[in-house]
Amino acid sequence: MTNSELKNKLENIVSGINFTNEEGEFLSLEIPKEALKDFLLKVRENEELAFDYLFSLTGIDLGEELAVIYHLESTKFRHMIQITVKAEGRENPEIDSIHEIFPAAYYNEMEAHELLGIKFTGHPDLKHLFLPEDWDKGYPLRKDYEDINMLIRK
Amino acid sequence: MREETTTIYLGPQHPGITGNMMVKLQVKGDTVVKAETHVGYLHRGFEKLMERRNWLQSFTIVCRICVPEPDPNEENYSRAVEEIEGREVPERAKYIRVMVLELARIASYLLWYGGQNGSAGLYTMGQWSVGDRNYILDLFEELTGGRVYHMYIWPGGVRRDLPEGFADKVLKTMDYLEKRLDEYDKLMFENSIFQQRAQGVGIIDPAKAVEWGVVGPPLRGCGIQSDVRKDDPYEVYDKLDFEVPKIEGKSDVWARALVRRFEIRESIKIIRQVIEKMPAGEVYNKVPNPMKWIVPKGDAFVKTESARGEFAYYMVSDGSDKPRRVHVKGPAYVHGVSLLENLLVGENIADVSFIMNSLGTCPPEIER
Repeated sequence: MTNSELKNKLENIVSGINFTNEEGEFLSLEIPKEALKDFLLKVRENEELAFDYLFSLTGIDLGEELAVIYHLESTKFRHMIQITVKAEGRENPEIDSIHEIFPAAYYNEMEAHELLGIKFTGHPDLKHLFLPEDWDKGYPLRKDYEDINMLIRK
Repeated sequence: MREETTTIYLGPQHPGITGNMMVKLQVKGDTVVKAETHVGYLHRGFEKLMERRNWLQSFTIVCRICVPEPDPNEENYSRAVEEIEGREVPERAKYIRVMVLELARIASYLLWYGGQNGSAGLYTMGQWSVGDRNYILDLFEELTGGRVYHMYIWPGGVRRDLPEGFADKVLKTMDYLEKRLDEYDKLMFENSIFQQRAQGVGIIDPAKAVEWGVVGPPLRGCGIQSDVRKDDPYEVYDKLDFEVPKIEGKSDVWARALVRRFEIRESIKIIRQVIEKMPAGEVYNKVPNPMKWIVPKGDAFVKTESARGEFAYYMVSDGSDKPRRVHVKGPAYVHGVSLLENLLVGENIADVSFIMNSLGTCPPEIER
């Protein structure tokens, strides 16, 4: 399915999608965080879309706010979409956990919580995966994180 | 009779696989009741390091992400940058890239043969296959200057053209390997000890494989013909003739071994085609002065089929001389953590590292 066909299908199923890039390798879109779980359930269950494989979950610091980017693929039709969900603000960013819909998200969410401080509501165990358990020096992947050992002053 | 469980810590020093990770096992008798993976011994923070380095400096560290098979990282990184920039890659460079990737795949599978048999107590196979892997490392040394880390595939093409007579050497090595593969079959696949150890152990439920995110040989071992080289061809894979194995039967360690046995022969086939079809010409589309190299704003997602499965990079550029964010998604992230925890339950302690190895667990790549 081409990007424009995908776009039409998605618009028929869910409303309120903001398409950010239709020209790229795959369709990029942005949805409000409240609509995330509902959206994912719908695109997974829909027979013509059948997005059954979450192949990447990336946490990113956009500057003013933090966001999570989901990449979905359909193993049947081989089409892909990229979904951006912004967690409003930097102070207490929260996004719904999707591990019940896509079990592959479980550890990715743990990592995004650990390195960027995004809280995933509904995730049963947001422990540290890579950092020491008593780590209290902030979130390393945020842009305002300062590491004394690695600091280069110009 | 006592009905208590005992806790056993497997690792963190090389628990039957390359790299450091720990598995905390709750066992009853010698049956695993619960398995919990502990990673964090190799977290070097590559994703953060890349945000501090410029585009060319970042390229020099990506090969360190996975030790047994560094080339898919270089290829992914280069292709992501090229995609954002819109940089053309010379046709000859694409063919050379495929040749390097396939050589790396064979080298990785040979190391895997050694590890898999070693964890079953069959050490002869390891001596043979790791010895034969050295012939491929010799080729890499001549081509790139490095045996393990090559830093050869870089944005814009490859670092230099093939040395004189190199293609013949590659073909000779492939002929030699093909003969050796028949001997491997006798030693490994016709060996009843290996058969009995591998069959019926570490079974993945094919219905759940996709939703768990299983990729690569374990997924193909489930009977699902999924390969990035076919599904979403990159470089010149769409011009080459090769097959993806269709495995029937249980999706156990044995099935995963059969996948690799099949693919190593396909890789030899691909390398022969690549050398035959390789056009003459330039191999490098020069990038600007690396210290002033600005990559325009944009993002790219690229995938490669590595020896352990789909390897993906998500790269974001904000139009400066450094990447804004590079996310590395390796196959071992799924195989080594979530899948392993599920798979080990109900298995024998002696089979734990056997199963870990069959999934291609690679801790340096889990933690990056």
